[in-house]
Amino acid sequence: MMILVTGGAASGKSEYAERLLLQLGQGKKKTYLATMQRDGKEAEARIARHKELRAGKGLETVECPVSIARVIQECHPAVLLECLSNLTANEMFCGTETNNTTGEEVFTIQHEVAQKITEEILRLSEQVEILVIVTNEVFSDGLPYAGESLEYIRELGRINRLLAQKADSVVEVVYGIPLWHKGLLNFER
Amino acid sequence: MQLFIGGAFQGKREFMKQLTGAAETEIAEAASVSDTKEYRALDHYHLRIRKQLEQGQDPVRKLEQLLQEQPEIILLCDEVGMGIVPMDKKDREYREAVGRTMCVAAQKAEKVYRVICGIGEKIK
Repeated sequence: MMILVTGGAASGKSEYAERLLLQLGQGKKKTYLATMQRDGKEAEARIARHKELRAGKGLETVECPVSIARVIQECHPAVLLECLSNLTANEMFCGTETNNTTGEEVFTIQHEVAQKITEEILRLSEQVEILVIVTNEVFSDGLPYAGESLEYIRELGRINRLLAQKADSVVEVVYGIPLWHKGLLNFER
Repeated sequence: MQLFIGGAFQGKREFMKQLTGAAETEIAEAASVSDTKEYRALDHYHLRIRKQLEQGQDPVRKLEQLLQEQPEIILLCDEVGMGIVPMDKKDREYREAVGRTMCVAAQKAEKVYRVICGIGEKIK
């Protein structure tokens, strides 16, 4: 079973996704697939906070900032993947190369990452019993983005659509309230 | 009139085509079309509003005129109001105008659909 959980920043989607996983994965071993890149104090603080929130809930953390396919074998039957906006950013922006003339480290951009990410996640979903995926609503601020930012938003939109099509359920969380867009679950309505 | 709204890249156009049977050739870019009467649907209506503002026109009045001429038109528009207040005055006015104009559009629409993750739902 694959469930896609979406919502805006600080909407309560993570907590809701976690509750879904604990409920649906009762009696099963559980994995928390963390996508945040360890790249500084702020990230470390966020990771520490999230770990504290999960402490004692029987979730084993597997860190995977890029290439989900690498960790499929490490996952338990119930998996919470958080979150696609990080994963997409990591896949797109995390490569670096050295400029031959200046010797400077410059970022490289991976294009068209939606297909790769979607395929890897679908492979994961075939290997586990329950997969809850957290994504992010970044599509409605109306700002005129261009270049890499626009490409990032477009890729994340594409991933959301592709996964929603395959998912058994899609739920949008609005301040902790679930709005089921596909496959209504009888879960704490 | 039918209205299709949702965030950017959510699959509004695809959903509308499936639902209404509109062909690609019947859909115009709302900001660049010269004669809307030749088309059944106007996509990216928010960009048309942006252009109207740049030309000093009133988007609500323009919409009302359009609906008088083509009461069966299909409009597709991004939702643009769910971010922090833009720093730039023009961006603020644009965001405000899209919201206000779409409130009028939704009120006049026979049906309103909202699309998220490719999934469309009738909200009116």
